[in-house]
Amino acid sequence: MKDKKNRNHPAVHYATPFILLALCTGVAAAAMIKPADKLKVYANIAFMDDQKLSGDDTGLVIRDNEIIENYTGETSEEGEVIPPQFGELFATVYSPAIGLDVPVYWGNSPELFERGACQSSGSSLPGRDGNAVISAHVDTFFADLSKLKAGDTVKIRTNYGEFEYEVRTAVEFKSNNNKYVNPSEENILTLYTCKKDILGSADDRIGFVCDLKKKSFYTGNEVTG
Amino acid sequence: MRNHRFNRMITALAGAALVCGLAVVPCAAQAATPEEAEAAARACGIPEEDIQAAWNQFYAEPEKYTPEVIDKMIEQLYIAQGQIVTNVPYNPDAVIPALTDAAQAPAETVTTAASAAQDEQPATASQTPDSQSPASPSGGNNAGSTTEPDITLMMPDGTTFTRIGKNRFIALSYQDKLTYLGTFTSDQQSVIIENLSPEEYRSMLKQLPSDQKLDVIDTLSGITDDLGLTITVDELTDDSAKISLRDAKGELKGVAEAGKLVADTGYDRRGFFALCGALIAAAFGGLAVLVHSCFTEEITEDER
Repeated sequence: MKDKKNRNHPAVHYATPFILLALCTGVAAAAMIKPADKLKVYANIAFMDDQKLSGDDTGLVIRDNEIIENYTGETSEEGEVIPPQFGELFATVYSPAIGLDVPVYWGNSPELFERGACQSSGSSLPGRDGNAVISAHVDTFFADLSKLKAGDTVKIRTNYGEFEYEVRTAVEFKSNNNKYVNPSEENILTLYTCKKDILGSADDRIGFVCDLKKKSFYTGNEVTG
Repeated sequence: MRNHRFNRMITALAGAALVCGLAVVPCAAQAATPEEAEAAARACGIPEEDIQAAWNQFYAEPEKYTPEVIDKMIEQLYIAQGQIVTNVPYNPDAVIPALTDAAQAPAETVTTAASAAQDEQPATASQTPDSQSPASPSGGNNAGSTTEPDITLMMPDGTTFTRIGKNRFIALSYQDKLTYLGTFTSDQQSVIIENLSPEEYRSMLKQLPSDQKLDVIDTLSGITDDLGLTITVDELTDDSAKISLRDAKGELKGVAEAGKLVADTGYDRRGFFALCGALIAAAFGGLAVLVHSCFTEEITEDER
């Protein structure tokens, strides 16, 4: 006589829910990591303070400023660049072609990358001659950067002016290759982020070199919107 | 920003050797304006990104950069560069395996940097395959590579000697560099040091043992003190250096990681996904055991 006793064994009843829970947790955690990143970004923006001391003891002071978006006053091709402080939100990078509108902080720091894009303090400020280098996380602010195409318009808005660039070309480089982030005599903007990788940590970077098309320094105070 | 200014200072230690010849030849800093300092920095081989960072910092607080501060900054750099490499004891019999393994090549094309430090007489390029070189007869240390010619340098008295090419020198470890230097006489070492390229200096700076790096940082802190900034070493190994600059209030003004310009723009999720994978694998394993036990028929005592 045969008897399928194991099916009714107490261990089966106790173990089954835990096993299913572990399975669901593993799958859910893996699947939710990307949406969680975006949620964190929104939370950061929603609850950001104007001036916030970093949570750790590094002494980093993050300064969040309002950036002028709709300036209607007079502009000039030449003007004064206002140098930001380390950790200061001083610009936004905007590209309607891919729906990009991201705050830009001065200096590279993990805390700043959580809040927006960062411009290397070893690169030229927008409005000055040279290469302005801006980067951001591929999982958050520059998730759609790879959709840029040659000819697309990218604008850098600051509180001293707006600078319009046109995407010239897409580039790929390794993280130990400084070629595209080095200073340049050309007036260009270089945007880059990690190449998308399921594990998140990629040595490859994708970027876009953009030519400066128009400089508009603000000379008045007219702001709308 | 200030962090890159420090980076500039660090890298300047390498490049400035071209001009002032390290501690061998004392130099008086005369850069009273930022433009003059920039020109001096560029002539010394300072990387452009560090010059750019210095300009950014200057524009942020130009009032702090008085001619006196700039002069002192350059003087401190000259002091610090002497901490990277100086003359070493003469040992003509030293053999450097990394060099002896290389193939011999003719020194048909010669490049050399100008050496005007000691006697205002510029070093000249010359084709001298039979030039005096103490390393050649001793252990073959002067062997050239098949792609890079040796460099011929001229002593103040007009005699010449050769040293290995720039790329081969850069490829040596720091200790091998010093050992190689020791195969030359003291006077020849001085000439070599005077004529090291910025890239060669930069490579030595990167390879400096951490205690020597600390000495360099200590020297440079004299510059930042004048600007009201404090240098903190966050991480220091023989291979890396991470330094922070803070003002008198303790506010972070910059972070510098030697040689690192490309930012980390992706989260490292390998650990997280490994954990998820392990959890899922364990769950499937448990399910397999359950299914197996549920559908396995036990043999009763009667059947046995």
